Amino acid sequence: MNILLIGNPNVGKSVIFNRLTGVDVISSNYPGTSVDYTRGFLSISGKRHQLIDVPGTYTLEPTCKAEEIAVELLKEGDVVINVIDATNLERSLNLTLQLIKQKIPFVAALNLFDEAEHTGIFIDVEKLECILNVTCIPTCALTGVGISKLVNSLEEVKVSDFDFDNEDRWNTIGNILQEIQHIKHKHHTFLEALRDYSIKPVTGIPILLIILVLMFLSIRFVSEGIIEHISNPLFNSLWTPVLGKLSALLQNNELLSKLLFGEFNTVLNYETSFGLLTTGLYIPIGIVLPYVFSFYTILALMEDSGYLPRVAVMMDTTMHKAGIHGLSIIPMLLGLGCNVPGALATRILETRKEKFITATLLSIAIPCMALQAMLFGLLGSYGYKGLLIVFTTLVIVWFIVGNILKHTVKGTSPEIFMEIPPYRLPYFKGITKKVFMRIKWFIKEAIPFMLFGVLLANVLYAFNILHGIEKVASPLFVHCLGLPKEAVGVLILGLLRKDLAVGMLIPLQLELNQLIVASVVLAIYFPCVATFSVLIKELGIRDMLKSVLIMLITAILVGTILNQVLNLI
Amino acid sequence: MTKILSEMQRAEKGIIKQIRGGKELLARMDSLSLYIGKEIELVSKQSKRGPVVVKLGNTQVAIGSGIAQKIIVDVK
Ligand SMILES: Nc1nc2c(ncn2[C@@H]2O[C@H](COP(=O)(O)OP(=O)(O)OP(=O)(O)O)[C@@H](O)[C@H]2O)c(=O)[nH]1
Ligand SMILES: [Mg+2]
Repeated sequence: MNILLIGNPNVGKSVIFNRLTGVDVISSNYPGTSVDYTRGFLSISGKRHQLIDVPGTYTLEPTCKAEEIAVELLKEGDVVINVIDATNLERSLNLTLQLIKQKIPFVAALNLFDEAEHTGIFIDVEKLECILNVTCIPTCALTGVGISKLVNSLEEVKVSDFDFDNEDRWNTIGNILQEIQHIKHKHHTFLEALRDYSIKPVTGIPILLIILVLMFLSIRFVSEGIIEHISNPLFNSLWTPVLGKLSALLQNNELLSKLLFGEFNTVLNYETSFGLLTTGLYIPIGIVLPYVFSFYTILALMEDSGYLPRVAVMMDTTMHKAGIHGLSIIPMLLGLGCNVPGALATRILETRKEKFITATLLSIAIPCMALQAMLFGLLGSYGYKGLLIVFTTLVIVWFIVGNILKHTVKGTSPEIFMEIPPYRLPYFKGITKKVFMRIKWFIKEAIPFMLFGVLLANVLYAFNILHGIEKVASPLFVHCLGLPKEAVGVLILGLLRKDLAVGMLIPLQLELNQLIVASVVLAIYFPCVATFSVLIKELGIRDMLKSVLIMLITAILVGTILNQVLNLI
Repeated sequence: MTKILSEMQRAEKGIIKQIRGGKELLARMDSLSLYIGKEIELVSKQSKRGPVVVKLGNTQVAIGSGIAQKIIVDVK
């Protein structure tokens, strides 16, 4: 049997899915967390059934890609678990009635029942069951209350015989609510006060600025702390001796030792030696991982508290300057961690124009944490000047490219229209689980690419393969960008992983100005292959080619201008 | 008194009277339970051309200024 979890966005479908199947999926406190479906299995009295976590939808007449996926999946399902938000019965029942009209067999889970009680909403579940003539079960996905009852109810699922006039849906719902819902007025809580202050511009914008600055500072502070006090000591005291023994064993095999340990004189330098077991592991684990960890911890706090949609509202006017609206801040913020989930999140956007601009700006001006981590290391050693120039340049490029695209890309840019969830207290287990999942994902994705990249770098340089390309590209690099022609290789490997590419800049012994230009060009010129392949699927080949063309042109223009400007001052 | 949603003041309450938009807009508003006859309260306004946030029942919805100009509200 195929069981689908269908419901409005942000009602707890993914948490329920995780409880029922044990399969980890990301859940967060904002609508549009799941943009793709996930399959898992659960057994009901000994029989195995497939359960599918579906992207949330408000209606069965889709308005964006994520909703399309949900409606498409409905055809696959044998029965549905309709997850209802008990704190928002009216809107939830609207979808329920649509399921009823389509004669889809379902049971209803009245989730967030705990929160409904807290806010003073009392629901007569038995009466609702009587009216709709389907099983309704109050649940709290976080604690698991009601979940086993929900599973048992799946043994017998009915089609509701509730009859109503579709034109008069809201009235019908209103009448049902009259009978089953009782609302007790409660005093304003602290979270409600916060809700008001954080969205009023007078207080909201200062709060946003403070949060962003705190976020930036704490990510740097925590990550540098981990690198200095945990990863470096671990590499030096545990890994270096292992490598020492291994290299003694491989003394006779020069080629293999060079590949594994790279090149170094007497002391091992993890950053510049460029061996598989040295730089290939040190960059992703020693440097990038601490940043990935602290970024995702802070992102999880923002996601689970419910602050992100407020950021979207506050940033809306700014984002309009680039022809997109506030909701696009979500792909952008996710992209600061890794561009791949950022690119996937463009599915919550409605029109082609919006998606195209968001994806292009994401690739051009949003450096992922891996790239940022390396830039902090590389440029940070010169103080704040280099970092400041790189990041300011990217912000300016974001605005200029966005503005040009706004006026040139065909199509419409719709306006923000989104639900703003209540604030919820992030809970420790949820946060740690999410951070752990994303770290696992990072390690699985990053390390193979990294090792392959290091291998490729060694092969390219050992056989002098790049010589031809370097020669051709040298006028561009030397005259326009002010970089040595060897930087060609850096950009080629940057296609695999940008953090690796920054690592390759170190042995080139560049000056600060050259490092700045190289960093900016590296950020802009092309997304990494992982992001590229996702974007091809999301945008289609034609639009992706256009997008890539924009990236390359922007990279060359910005690099050239920056080089000139930096040489003047 | 009727007002355009984008001209409502903070904390003002009213009932949606008319939505001056195409089918698509109506459908989208409908899916978020913004239908004619629904009571709403204005929670906040960003800058002049920024989005408004309205409270309806137990939730809040952010509405872009262009859309907000198409919604006519019977203000209490
Ligand atoms: N208090 C409480 N919070 C819950 C409950 N179920 C889910 N949540 C929280 O509600 C938020 C949304 O949960 P998700 O599982 O991501 O919601 P979803 O339905 O998958 O949302 P989309 O993927 O956006 O469609 C998360 O912050 C959860 O922690 C519940 O029963 N009680
Ligand atoms: Mg989900």
